[in-house]
Amino acid sequence: MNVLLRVNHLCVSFVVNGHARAAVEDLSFSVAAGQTLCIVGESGCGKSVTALSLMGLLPKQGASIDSGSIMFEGKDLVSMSEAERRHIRGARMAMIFQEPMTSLNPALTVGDQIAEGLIRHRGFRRPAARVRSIELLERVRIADAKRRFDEYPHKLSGGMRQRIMIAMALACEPKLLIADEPTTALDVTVQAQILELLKDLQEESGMAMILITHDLGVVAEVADEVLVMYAGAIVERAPAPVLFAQPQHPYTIGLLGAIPDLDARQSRLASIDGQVPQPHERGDGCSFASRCPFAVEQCWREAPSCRALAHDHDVACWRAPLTESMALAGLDIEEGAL
Amino acid sequence: MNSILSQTLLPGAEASRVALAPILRARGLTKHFSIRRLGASGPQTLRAVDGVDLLVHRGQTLAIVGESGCGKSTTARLLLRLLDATSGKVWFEGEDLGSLGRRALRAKRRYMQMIFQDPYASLNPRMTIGQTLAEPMTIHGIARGEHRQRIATLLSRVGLSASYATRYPHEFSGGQRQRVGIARALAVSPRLIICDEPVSALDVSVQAQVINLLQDLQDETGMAYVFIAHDLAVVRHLATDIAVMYLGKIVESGTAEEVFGAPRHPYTQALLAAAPRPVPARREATVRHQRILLEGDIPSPLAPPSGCRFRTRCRFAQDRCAIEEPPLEKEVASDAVAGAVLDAEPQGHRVACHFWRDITSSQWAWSSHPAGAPSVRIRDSRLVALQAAFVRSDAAGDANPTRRINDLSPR
Repeated sequence: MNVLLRVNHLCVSFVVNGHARAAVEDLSFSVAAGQTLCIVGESGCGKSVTALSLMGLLPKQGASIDSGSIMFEGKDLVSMSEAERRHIRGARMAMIFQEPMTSLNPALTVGDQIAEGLIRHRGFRRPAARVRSIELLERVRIADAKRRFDEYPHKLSGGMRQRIMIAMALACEPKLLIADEPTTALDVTVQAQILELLKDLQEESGMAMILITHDLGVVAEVADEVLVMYAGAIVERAPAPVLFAQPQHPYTIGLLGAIPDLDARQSRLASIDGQVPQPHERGDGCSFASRCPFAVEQCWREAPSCRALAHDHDVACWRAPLTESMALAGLDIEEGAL
Repeated sequence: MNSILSQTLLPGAEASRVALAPILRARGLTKHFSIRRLGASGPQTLRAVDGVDLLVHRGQTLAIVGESGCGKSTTARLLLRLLDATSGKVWFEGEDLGSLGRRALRAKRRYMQMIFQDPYASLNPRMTIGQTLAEPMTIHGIARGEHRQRIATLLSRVGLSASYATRYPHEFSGGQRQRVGIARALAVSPRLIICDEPVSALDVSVQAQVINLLQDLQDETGMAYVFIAHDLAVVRHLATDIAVMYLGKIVESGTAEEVFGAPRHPYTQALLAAAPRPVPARREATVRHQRILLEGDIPSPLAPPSGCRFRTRCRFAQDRCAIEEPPLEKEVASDAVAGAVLDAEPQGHRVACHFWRDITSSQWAWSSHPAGAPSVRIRDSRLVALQAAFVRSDAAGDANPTRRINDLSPR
């Protein structure tokens, strides 16, 4: 496969109250052209920090990439100068954000905002940029694109603004699109439209996509491959069908059980007790141990690293592969204790 | 283990329906807001809620679903008379809330509480958790001497340590704050709680904790819930009855089985088709494009479409839909069950669509889903067994010291 992006052992930390706190630890993954990778996890798991690191948009003060490399089209982005990155950002790789309301400039027309990338990266002159921008608006299926070109963001609905964001991101035909919770702020019928649009555009252009979300339903709709993150680290990586059918990490298993089923009524949801530990609360052991019904003594003592369980399926858990008998064994012990 | 097993039984929605007593009824509930906008000639009327009938039974959960701007939160506020209705009536335990004076209304409110969406905004940051919980007790005349004990019981009941009473909201996570919000609603032993998107700001794993808590509390106390939500899977999980709203009107209502099992209104069908399910889709583009996609956005409630309000986004719309507004009519099958006596009540499976008879559910359901087949969640025995371990640890509470306190509280 044609690997477009390869992240190797990336570590990112933030300085909080004078202490360096790891936000992302030892992250490794790759994305091939035309592929969709989903990064899934709950708030504070490090998924957005990962996206910002890839884009080179981490805050200048307080955040740092401590080690690791981000190889994009054969070049290491981590060691690149800011000037060099600026040529890549917006042109070779682009990003769309969760809040289409706040990520558009309210003082500029949507047309100007789309044309900006073309003028800056592609050397378009204004009239040509206008023509191309209107084409882009049509491509993201905005009706009456000519009129919309001259409108300001406040006139548009949430779904339309997200389409504008997508048009901006696609203006320079990037090889990689990073979408951070692109549909979280939208209603479900509009979400379906946007996901469909992203899939179509990807098919047309062959770009790779990294989609960051907390919603496993969205993951199931678009992902080729899935990374599950927990407390700043990858806990499981697998092709989407494998992840949903044969999840191995207890966190993934619990998360799948915590989603109510739309098509059948179940009695009680699986619920993962407690909450995600903050960076300063993480101990020596597995960061999920305190919430894990399968944890044994080793889990508290030593953090597991991500290892291959099967071809294309990595998991960071001492107890994997978890089997049915292990779950039943747990039940026996508990009943014995009662 | 007995209590855990009893919790896993499904609520017998249909079986016990005959014996159900209504706790809350709304008839013709309407709220229009007058809006002055820059550049507009005069004030405009925003029709937020337009003629809504609802019925909530004791111990049951009515869910109101719909997308943003459909009027579901305004409806919630009208039900409690936190907003005064433009027209229409609400009866709580048979009493017309509109006819009550300030004092009488306040006394009634003890029995109808509310839980809000944003656990960050709905707690006073300058009050300790204990003060927050004591306030409704003071207002509703619970003796001061009882407060301490009640607060401790409440906190442990919602899975928090009793020692948290002296702390402030900023010290807690979103899930914990929502538990405090639930404890505040429970403080005066209500018979009805209106929950306005109580879990939509929470992470999935925490959301499941709160959903389980709401279910347990209902099983124990027999409270009724009005559950306002946009997440259809959460609604399916909790609701016994469902009303689907679009632009201020109910377009379909009935039991959860009726509305989600055999949706009749094209909007309900589209909502269900659009909801992402955690089942990997087939990759073939041909299958994908059969899915119903609603075009465009919800129109402005300042100028709702004539006739059927959904017609501008409906793929079945015909000329008649623009002229004549479809009434919320009863399906024949449910009619026979409901009987003539209850005819005036908003009961049975009701649909507001001229052509629902022509739109069969089979037409939408499985051909439109991205997987092209009934989306069956993968439930192999291994996964079920492993997930049961999480259900167990939640209910048994062995791993979590704050949960153990639960068992001491009166059940």
